[in-house]
Amino acid sequence: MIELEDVVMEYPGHRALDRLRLSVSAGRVYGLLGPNGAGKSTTINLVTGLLRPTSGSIRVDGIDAVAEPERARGALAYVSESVALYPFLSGIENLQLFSRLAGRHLDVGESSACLLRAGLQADAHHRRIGTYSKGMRQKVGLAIALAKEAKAIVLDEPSAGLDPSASHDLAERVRELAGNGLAVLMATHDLFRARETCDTVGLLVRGVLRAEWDASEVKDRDLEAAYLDLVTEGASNAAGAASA
Amino acid sequence: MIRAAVGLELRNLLRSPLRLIVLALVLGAGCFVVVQGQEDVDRWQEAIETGQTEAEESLAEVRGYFAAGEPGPADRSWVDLTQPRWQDYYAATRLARTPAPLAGIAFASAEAGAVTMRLTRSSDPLLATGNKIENPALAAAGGLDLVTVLTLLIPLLVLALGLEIGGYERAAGVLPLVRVQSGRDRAWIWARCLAVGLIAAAAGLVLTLLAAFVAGAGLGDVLPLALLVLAYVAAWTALLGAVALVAHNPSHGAVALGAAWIVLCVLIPAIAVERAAALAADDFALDLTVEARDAGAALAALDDEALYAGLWARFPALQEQTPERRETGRRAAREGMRIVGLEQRMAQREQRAQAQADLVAGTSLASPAVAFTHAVERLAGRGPEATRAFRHAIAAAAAERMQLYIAASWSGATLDAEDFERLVAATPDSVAPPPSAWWRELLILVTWTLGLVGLATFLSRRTPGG
Amino acid sequence: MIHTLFQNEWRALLRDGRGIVLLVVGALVALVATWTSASTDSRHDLAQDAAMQAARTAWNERQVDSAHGRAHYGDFVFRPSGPLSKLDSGLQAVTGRVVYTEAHRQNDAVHKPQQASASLLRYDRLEPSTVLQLLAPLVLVLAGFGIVSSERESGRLRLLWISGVRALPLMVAKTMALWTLGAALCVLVVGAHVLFADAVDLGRTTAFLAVHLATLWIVAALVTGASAWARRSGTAAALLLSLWVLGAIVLPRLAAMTAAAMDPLPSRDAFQAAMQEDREQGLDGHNPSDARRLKVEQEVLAEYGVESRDELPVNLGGLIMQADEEYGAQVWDRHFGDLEQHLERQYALAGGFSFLNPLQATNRLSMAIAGTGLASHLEFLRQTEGYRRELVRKLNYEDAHGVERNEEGRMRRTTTKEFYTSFAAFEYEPLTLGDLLGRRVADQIALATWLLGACAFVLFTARHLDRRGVL
Repeated sequence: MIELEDVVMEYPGHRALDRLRLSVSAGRVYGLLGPNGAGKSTTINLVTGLLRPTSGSIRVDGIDAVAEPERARGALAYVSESVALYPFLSGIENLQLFSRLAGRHLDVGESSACLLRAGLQADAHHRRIGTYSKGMRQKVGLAIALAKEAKAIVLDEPSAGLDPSASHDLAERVRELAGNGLAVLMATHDLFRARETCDTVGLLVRGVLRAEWDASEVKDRDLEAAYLDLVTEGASNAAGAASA
Repeated sequence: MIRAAVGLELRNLLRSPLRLIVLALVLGAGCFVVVQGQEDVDRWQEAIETGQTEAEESLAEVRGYFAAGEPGPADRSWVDLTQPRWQDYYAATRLARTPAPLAGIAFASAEAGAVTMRLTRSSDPLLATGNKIENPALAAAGGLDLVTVLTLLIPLLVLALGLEIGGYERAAGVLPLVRVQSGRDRAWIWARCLAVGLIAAAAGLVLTLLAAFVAGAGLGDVLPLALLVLAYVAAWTALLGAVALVAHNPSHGAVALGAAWIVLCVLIPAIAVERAAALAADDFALDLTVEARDAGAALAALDDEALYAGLWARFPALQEQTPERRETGRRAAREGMRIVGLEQRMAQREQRAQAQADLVAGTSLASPAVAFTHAVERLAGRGPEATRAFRHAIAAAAAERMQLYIAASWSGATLDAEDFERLVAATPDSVAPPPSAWWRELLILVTWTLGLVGLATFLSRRTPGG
Repeated sequence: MIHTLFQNEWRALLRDGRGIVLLVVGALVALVATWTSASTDSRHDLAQDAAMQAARTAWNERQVDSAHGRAHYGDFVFRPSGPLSKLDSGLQAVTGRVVYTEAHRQNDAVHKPQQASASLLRYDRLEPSTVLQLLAPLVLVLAGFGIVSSERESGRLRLLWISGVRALPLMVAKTMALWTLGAALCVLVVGAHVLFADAVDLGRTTAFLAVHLATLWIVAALVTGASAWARRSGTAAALLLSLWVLGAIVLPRLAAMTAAAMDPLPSRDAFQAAMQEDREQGLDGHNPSDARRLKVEQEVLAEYGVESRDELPVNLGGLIMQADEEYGAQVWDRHFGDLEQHLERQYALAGGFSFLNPLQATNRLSMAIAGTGLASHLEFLRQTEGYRRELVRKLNYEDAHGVERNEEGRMRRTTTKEFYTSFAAFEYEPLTLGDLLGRRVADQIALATWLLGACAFVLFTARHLDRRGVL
């Protein structure tokens, strides 16, 4: 559903992604781990079409996202780290607005049902977004993704800044989305939540996908140790290359 | 998308007290000045009617003298209505400058030109003053009329309602979501700007229609104004779009829009006003004052040959006639030469007026605010062209009278009531404002709009994430 | 602490591209305005000197005519520039610049420079006062709308609190930093004026500077306060820009319109008709059947102890003319006195808005100090009328007494060219600064109230921040 093949992204004097190969199938959750500056956000921006790769191919639901970014985006939903919406609109109104932008007209009942599915309690539906907590806004973001009936969803650090309960709640919703057949690509720093939520975890270090694990096969401690090993190795390699 | 954007902006407007206050202020100020403008036009009409009533009463009095066979008022024994000079004096009519249908919208143009003028052979249009006594301290504040509201406040409404567009989306991170949802984030920002423009245009059109309704203007008068308002709002909406597409956050947007408003609505016009002041700095109206006085005195020294040559050049019809009495003929000819002097002074004024008009035309290219003001003031019949047309009408009527006076003086005949009525009938009683050309300014505004849309597109392609 | 915070604020202003741009653009505009205004004013002064010279030459070189003829020939009075007109031209654009003084009638000042600017009449001129009263406050708004709100948005405000900074020193330092930005523009403008001006009136220049510095402090305090109260910089920007538009564009016009609507002036026709009516009750120098004229004639005959005017050693016409002038002067004093009071009353009504709008109080005080306000204009008209009366009185006296009778008893004029060339040209005595400020007490109170209010606002905002505003 989301496929990246040999994707290279270069900025002047800096290669952000180096021949990235990554695939997320329908019904699967892929967790993209990595330290700051590893290339996670670049990957997300490439998949959502905010950036164009220097080379390589990106396909969303079989559509070439480089050649036909607008069509590809039609199959994609997106939830950012901090779901930013229009503060003067209520939860329902924001959902209706963004659904309308995606070409779907939801009435109040449908919108409410969608928000409930995303886990937002009914008493908050008509309150303005300005009064929402971060977790509530994330749920509206999920509702927007649900309403779009997308084939794939991209989440950028969705649990950052959430309390354990809200983070757990979100993880459950993400699993539900995957259960409904969506391909989920999630960039995160949270090793514990990644192992708990994802089917596959990939580790990105300095633009290179260094490892991929099946989440069910690794323990938290092993994942953390492997993460630290690879990140440290990547850093010393980079330092060596720089001194050479 | 535009429907979604309009819905969003309407909700934004209704839920933000600050935005509502701004809209209420603009509409409130607009309604207030529309009413004030109509009162000004009413006073204008009243001045015309008062003048015409006075003229009618004066004419009726003279008709009474003719009917009674009296030479003139009993307490002015020197008056003899059978003489051309007294007939001209007592046959004074009023020439009225008819207000244009939308005159009320530009009542604060501080152009206190005369709206009615007592017409005799010696009427001097350059000395015609308005019926208003202006308090200079209040006039210096600049007026607040519908033109000011539309020129300065409608753009501010566009900016106040759209201040955060683009900048907010970019700073808060809404833009990626918009792009993923709709595929076209630039189109969304344009749609929001357009929605704001529609609200501002609606406010501008409401005020325009209100002004037209209060003034009883017809569709033909309102349509150009409505088109200009729409084009002006479009130009500001395009500017809003240009800023919104590149603003990194609302603060940058606010500063850029505020600065643009200042430059286009305050700074460029202020530079033009300074330039206009410089153009007028060495004009002490010596041609109208010292030189005119001395030229008048110099006429006495002209020999007959030069006097009559000058007069016949201006009034060729008089060549067919010879003065019955030499001294009377010479006196009348000297008076006739005053018209020549007046017309020369008017031509000199025209040159200065042309320099000013060129300045305004040039500034119109640099600022849509000036272009809009210029066009709308002309539509209202209160621009300098209208004043000039009135002056020319006065000068033409005075010259016509002068010719009749000279002919009568030279013939030496005794004039009667019929001559009096002929003199009255020969003078026009009103001047309509000249037709206004507003296409050039409309074209300027459309060019600004297209230029800004082009600039916005160019800049947004260079802006990361734009 | 205030010093450190102040330094830090200036560093931020200079390192932020916006601060530099505003400072550079503001300084450029200020210098351009000062230079163009000074050069326009100099051209104006030169042209005025030439015009005065032309009028004087015409007067002096005219053939020797009768004094009464000369009274009708008249003289021209040119309005002088105010002492600080290069800084603030005030009402000079809307008041006539030439007055034709002649016998029997008081003419209006004609030829307003503003009439030349046609479609640009509704815009302000780019002169130093415009820069200081409109653009400098705007520079402060654009430079300072985020001065506190951006600190809050970025979380730096919390850091400052934790570092021990209290709200009052912070607010004072930020207000001072903003004010010094405006003050720099102000000093630049006035400094350039002092450098380029031929003569500097120190008292007026100091008062001009003080009024504008006070206003900029008020603006700086309002901007800092509003930025502290606003939750977001965008809100602060929208609010402050709206307030600027209100204070700089809308309220001054609204004040003028309100005053004109509340206490309307008579129409010119009505005013002249009323004056004409009173005038007609008096003498008409050209009306031989006038009863009053006969009364004057009787009095003169009695004074000289003769039976008929042919026996008089003076020209009776000149004496009648002067009597008529004196009556006309009384009529004018009454009507113009009323009109003058009316104009002042309207101006005072508009002045009420100074308590709502500090920029208006500043504008009125600035014009008064520059000698280009309403009081100076009315004083010019009074002095012009005084000059006209003296001119006509001398000419009428000459008309009456500059005669002699020959042996046949026929009257002959003895007026010489020297008599006419002995007339001194009109010289305007400007009102003193004390006089002018004495007439604008209400505006001074308004500005002082705003100054105190602005300080109180800073204090109040600081207390608010101390209690709950950091987050």
